[in-house]
Amino acid sequence: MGDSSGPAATPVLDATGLVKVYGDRRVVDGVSFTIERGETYGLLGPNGAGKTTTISMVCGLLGRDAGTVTIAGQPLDGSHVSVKAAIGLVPQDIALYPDLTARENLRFFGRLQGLNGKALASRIDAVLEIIGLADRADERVDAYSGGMKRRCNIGAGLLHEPQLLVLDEPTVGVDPQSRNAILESIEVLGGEGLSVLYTTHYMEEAERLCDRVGIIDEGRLIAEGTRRELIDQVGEHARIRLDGTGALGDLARRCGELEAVVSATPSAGSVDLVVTDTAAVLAPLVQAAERAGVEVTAIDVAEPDLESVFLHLTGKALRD
Amino acid sequence: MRSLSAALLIARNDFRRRLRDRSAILMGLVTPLVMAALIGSAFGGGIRFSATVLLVDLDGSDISRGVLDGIAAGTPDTAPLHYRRGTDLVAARGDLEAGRVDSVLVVPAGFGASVPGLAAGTPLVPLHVVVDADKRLAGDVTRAIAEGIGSRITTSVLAVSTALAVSASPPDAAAVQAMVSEAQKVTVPIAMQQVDVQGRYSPVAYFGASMGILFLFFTVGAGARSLITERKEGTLDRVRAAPVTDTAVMLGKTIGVLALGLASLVTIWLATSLAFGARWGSPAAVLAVIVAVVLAVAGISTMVTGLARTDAQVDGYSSIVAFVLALLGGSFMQPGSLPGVLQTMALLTPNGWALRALTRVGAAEGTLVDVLPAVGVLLLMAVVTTAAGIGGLRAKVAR
Ligand SMILES: Nc1ncnc2c1ncn2[C@@H]1O[C@H](COP(=O)(O)OP(=O)(O)OP(=O)(O)O)[C@@H](O)[C@H]1O
Ligand SMILES: [Mg+2]
Repeated sequence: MGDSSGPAATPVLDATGLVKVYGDRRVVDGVSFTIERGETYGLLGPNGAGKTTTISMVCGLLGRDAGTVTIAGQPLDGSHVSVKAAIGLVPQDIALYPDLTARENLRFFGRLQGLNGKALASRIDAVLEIIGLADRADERVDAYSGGMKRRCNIGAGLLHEPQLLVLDEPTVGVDPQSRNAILESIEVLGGEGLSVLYTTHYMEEAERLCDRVGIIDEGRLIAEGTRRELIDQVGEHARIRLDGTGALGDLARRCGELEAVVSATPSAGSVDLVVTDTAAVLAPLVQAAERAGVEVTAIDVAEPDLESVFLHLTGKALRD
Repeated sequence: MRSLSAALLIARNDFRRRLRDRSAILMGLVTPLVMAALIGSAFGGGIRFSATVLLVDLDGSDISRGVLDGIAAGTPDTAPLHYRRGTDLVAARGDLEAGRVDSVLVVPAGFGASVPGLAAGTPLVPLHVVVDADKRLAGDVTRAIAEGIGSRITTSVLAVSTALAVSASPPDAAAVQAMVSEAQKVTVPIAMQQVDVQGRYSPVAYFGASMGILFLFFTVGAGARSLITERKEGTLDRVRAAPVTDTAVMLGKTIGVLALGLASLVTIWLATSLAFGARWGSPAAVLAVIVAVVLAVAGISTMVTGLARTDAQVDGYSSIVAFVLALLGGSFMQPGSLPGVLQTMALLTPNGWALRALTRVGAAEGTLVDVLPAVGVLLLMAVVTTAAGIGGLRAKVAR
């Protein structure tokens, strides 16, 4: 909420030099990142990269071996638990009492956050509306489907209107439909100005939701930035494949002269281009095809994605 | 204030969830009650406490003979008290130590002679009771008989002397004789009263307590284990992510467990009293023992949960500890029937201390003061075991 914060410059989260050591393994090794107000920040990394460990330190669930965490300008340490109220945590596993109803779960966790009476009741109703469980709020959680449990798990993190919503892989093991619903609601919340820290090992989710992404692998943040910045950082280029008939060789030559085109290779029935900026290339490409008298039947754009960035940086695939 | 209210919130949530859990009700309430009723009825209408009291007459007066005859004659055949007579204190102590008698009541020399002096305001020479520390119940009953005789003689002699004073004639031989015969008559109702107390100490009360304490290990133990479950299932993370201290979380969990244990024993207490007419005795004393034994069992559960390596070990050790302590503590036997060695072993267990204290309260009119030693021992057990286990438990809960 860019307008609601007094000192607009204060980031909602500032984590610096986080380290967690188990035995002789540094499972989180000097991770630093900052989340501005209203920003959705993604931590993208494969299984075991250290995402949950990092988040646990940020939320004060886990002691740090080194580093500092500042939430909305306040340092997080053992003696100032009130700082934690600024965070709404959605743990990776369903963290609800299965023998209680959704409403009872929300009531308990809301009270723990200091909500009471009418304020609590109206927040519970609002959250039930957001997660789409208003009509089944009084059923026990263990009677819910996996997707409903997931949504309720998210709702419990939203109750106290935190400044920063922290979600740890909220779509793991969820059917495509529920997954889409979850992503949509996070987009809506982000759009309303809520700051979000989102971990995932799904590249598409990070691309779809996050303003900025930190790529984490083996406990280290190996790259960070907007999607565009990350892609530029590693110099990955988009690929465009134009299918058509006519003077394809002539077209390839004309394309090679365009500014954003790195290479243009004709082959039987198509021209393959490597470009630095798809948007800048598309219109001139179509014009060039007209001039060369090529009849275009299809244009395929393969934008570089975070998957290819990860591959480039680590030499391995994001998912194995 | 935030910490305490958070702790209470956590405790209330746990308590309510456990009450909804049918197995918790079964374990904490139904099973101990059913077992108490079954075992209790197997032992018949009353706890078969029996004691042999050695009556030692060092006085040898008409009055002392009359008083001792009165005790024996006034005890109904159904009463669990038997008497032997003696005149030698050293021999009496030998009999007591060898277990031939359970307690000794001594009429000291000069007792008879002190009776007439009562009217003039000089006190009665008191009766002595020699008891065996391991046979508290016999000792308590004998002590009560002795006190009863003393006060009865005093009141009846004073009554006679008052009557004589009203008739205005000075105390003469006839008056003294009247006092003496009064003194000889007073023992019967006292013995009856003691026997009456014995008869009303229902086995359901004893076994209600003993089974309640046994199952306390399971209800309270389940509470300690639920911490580990919550840690695994992630709800503990969500609780700890809220603005509450870890101390408040632990405190809340502890209060929840203790409340559950207390609720279980108090309900058994009320249910056996109301449904079976069981007589537990002084409510204050019973409550003190119940609170102390719940704390001790909570401490032992903390220790077992904290020291065990795996969850399977926690479950296994908890059951073993629960049954071994129950057996050693005499939970399956009627009070006073444990052989000597086992009586000593029972004092290693919270069950033994609690049952002994409760028996004393229910059977021998014990009061809060009488149970304080047992309460002290139970609290000590609670502190020591909690200290031994809390580190391990914290390590299991933290990450
Ligand atoms: N308590 C612990 N003791 C020892 N090692 C641990 C502990 N917790 C986590 N680890 C290790 O730390 C590493 C990072 O774990 P973490 O759970 O943070 O990964 P993650 O990125 O969240 O993975 P996932 O996508 O599978 O959830 C893993 O190799 C894990 O085995
Ligand atoms: Mg994880």
